[in-house]
Amino acid sequence: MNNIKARLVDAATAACMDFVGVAPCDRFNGVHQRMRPDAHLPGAQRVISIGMRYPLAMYENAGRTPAESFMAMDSFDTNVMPATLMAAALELTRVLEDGGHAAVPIAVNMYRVHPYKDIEECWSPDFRNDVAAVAAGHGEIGLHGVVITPHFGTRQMFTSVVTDAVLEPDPMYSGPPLCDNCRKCLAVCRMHALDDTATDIVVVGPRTFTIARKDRWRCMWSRKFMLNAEMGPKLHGLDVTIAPPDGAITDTDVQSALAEKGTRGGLQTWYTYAMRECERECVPPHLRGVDLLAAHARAVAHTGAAK
Amino acid sequence: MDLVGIAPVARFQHAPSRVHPCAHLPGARNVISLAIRYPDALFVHAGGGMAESIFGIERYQNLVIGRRLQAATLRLTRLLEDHGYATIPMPVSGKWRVHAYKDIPTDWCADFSHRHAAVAAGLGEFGLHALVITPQFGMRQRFVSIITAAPLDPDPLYAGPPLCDHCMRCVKDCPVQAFDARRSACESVTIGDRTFQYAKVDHWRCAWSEQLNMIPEEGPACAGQSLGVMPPATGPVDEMVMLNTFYAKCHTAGLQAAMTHAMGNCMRVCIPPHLRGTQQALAPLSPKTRPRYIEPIPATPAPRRYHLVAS
Repeated sequence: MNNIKARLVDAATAACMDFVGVAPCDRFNGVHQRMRPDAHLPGAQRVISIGMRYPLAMYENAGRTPAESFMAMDSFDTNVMPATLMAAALELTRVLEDGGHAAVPIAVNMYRVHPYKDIEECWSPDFRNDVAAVAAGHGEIGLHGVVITPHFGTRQMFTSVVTDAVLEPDPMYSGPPLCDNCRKCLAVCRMHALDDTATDIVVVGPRTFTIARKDRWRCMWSRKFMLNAEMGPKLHGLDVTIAPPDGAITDTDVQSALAEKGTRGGLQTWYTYAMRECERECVPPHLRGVDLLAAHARAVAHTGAAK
Repeated sequence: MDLVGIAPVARFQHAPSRVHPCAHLPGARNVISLAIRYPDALFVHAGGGMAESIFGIERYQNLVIGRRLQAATLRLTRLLEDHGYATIPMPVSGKWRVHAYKDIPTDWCADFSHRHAAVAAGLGEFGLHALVITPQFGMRQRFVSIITAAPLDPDPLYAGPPLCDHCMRCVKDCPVQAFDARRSACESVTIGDRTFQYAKVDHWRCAWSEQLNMIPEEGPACAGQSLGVMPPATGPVDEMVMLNTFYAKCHTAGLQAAMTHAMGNCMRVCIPPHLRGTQQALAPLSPKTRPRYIEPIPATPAPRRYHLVAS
């Protein structure tokens, strides 16, 4: 099995992955039963979590430099990186299949918009790639509900492969806390999607993370539907902001707002992007003031590995 | 790539002139057919288990595998160009001329058929459903093709045991009745020295589910789209009815309508005889919550309204 794990690590590295780790399935007991590994693959034994950092200078500078552009961020965040991640997951799946193991690669950026049977939440994925990342030892979950790693903070994206191969698990992260509840994430969200008072918990293996309760509809109002110009569209020349209604947001609210945005914004509505500032403003305590790129380059020079 | 084969253009002698390899590349000599298998567990468990999710098969089929196929065609094209041979990589399937075009009588017709190229390159043969079955993976692969002027050694046509025994599962389990498998209706195609027969496919009915996601039981229900519309029980599908119905379905189904997928039962239920017992079978999806069906929206300019069918 260790031989297969080594091949998986090699394959992930060759596929531009910065993170690869293995989690046993019992670390997922705290997530909804429909999002657990064995819900996707009966007999699942392990989850391989792989992750890829954003190009660091692109992430930091997007929309902040005289170019005033989110076009690269848009392309890489919504297109190139998800495709690269899933291509890597496919490659790992094929390595596992070649070794006689069943494996299911997991999708990214797909949601059930509404509650589904016994899943009460809206905008839910079919698998928790964030929980998998924490379960595989890559980092912790911050107050914003997003994974923070000691290497790149929030500046990476994850996906997973569920397998029946019994691979050697990696330990969960046990270093200094990566979130000190600085609450910047709450402050910068113009949609006020993160609740200042209510919290939820995320259980991963033996650990419990407390996160701000998120109104996913309000988050998606900007993140997916780009209805707040200040979160990004304005820099592409689309100065159309439509406020969401008070209280619960419905499909109809979104459809009406999109129609109005299209009418007022014209063709530019097709070419824009909304930055997730809750993630960008987040810098874990040990990385504040640190040049991430220089630190990364030093780590590569020291270990020869891209981590 | 898991499968690769080479077909000389002579095997396309009966192809319609506009989808013939030489219609794309004058002087073409060969077609290279490539395929990559689906991850078997991804295919087998799509929509099943507690996850009941179709997201994985959607993303990997349409985004990951499709791109990998096209990347492979580009690499091979560049390799052949480096040797001085004109070569054209064809895109993965997903673009069609919806209507008959000039001398192409068929609707929903791509500009090149990867299915026919795969058979011509010896990778497999047609099933009754008109899709390609391979001895290695049955239905569980996706194809792409490269047309080249390079003189390459051709591969023989598949000559093993029949890969389709007309079990009729694909016909019986198609919810939109897209197949007409009566002997008198079957279509015949000659590739090289072999002649294949397959069911006549009503591509409008197929697209009703596959492209427009109007049958929840073929996948959309797994994403939470509980609203469905059946095509007319018999007769042709009217295009304006189809469009009206699609927009009405999207409007009523809400935002989820943009994030779903249909995996045809013909794909799910087909396992060639020699792989039965080896390849795990998939049952047609059967959501526990019965979808709510509305009737197709007429093509007339009358105001749109929804005709609820008692459920």
